Amino acid sequence: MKNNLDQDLDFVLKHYEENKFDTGDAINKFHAKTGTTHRILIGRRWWAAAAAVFAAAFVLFAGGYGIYSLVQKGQAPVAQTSESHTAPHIFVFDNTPLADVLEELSGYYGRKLTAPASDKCLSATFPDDSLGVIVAAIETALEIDITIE
Amino acid sequence: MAGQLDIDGLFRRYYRQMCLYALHYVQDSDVVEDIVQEAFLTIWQKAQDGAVPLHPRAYLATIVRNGCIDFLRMQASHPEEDLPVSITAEEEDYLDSAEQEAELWTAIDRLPPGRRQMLLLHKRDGLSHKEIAKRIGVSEGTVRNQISRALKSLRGRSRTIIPLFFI
Repeated sequence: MKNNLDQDLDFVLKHYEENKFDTGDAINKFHAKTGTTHRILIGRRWWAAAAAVFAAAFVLFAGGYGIYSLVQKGQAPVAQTSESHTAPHIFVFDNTPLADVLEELSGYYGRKLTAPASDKCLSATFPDDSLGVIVAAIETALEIDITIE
Repeated sequence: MAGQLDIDGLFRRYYRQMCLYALHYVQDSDVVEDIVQEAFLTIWQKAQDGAVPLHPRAYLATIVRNGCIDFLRMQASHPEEDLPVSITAEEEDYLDSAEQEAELWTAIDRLPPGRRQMLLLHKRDGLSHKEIAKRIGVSEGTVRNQISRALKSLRGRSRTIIPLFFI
């Protein structure tokens, strides 16, 4: 027998629609209808700004933002990603083969990434910026061409 | 100002909960949004007249439930038919579940886009891992892995919030 969490999760997944039941939009609609004003700024932009600030603080604390190094394949590669849905996703690649990097990013963004076969590895830490920005950074660091399909 | 009613605060606390609650009665998200919006309007108008409810969640839930039943009555082939007036035990469960369902909805909103897409294609739309892999252009293993991660983060969402404040 399923527990309450699984039942609730099934229910939500069955009915989930993107951009539905947005609290910020509902507040805006309410104030437009009643002619009242916001007491506190809220909505997607607020969350986006808060998330951006949090991401910057997180990355600076980790001390690895913007540092890329190219190394040859040697020790057992490790691909790590932080697991959180309350903060921006942080990719951490430590001597990870290019194929694994592309596989990880493909899964995350839902876009197929391809590159010529290579034994190059990537060591890098970056937040989940736009896919184009990340791909451009990897292309520069590894001197390769990556195709987004 | 509507008495001591913090209408924005009420929206933030209860809007999504009330939408999920209403969704148990009416499976049309547009109608649900209208019903819940009307409920907040009602509570605000009452507050303007000096009637600020002591228990706004229960008050909202009652208005939302009545709004749903009115809608269903209009949709029914025999509008004159009486629908249940008293709240059943099952309906009590709807309200109890709504808070957790609202949290889950928010957690799904915050999943990485690709991961969310794969999860919904599988769980909501019924596609197999293989069909999703073919549609998106990634390996079947990636699909399985991403869906597994999504479910893990949704089930463990309450455990991941607190530690982040101390990073």
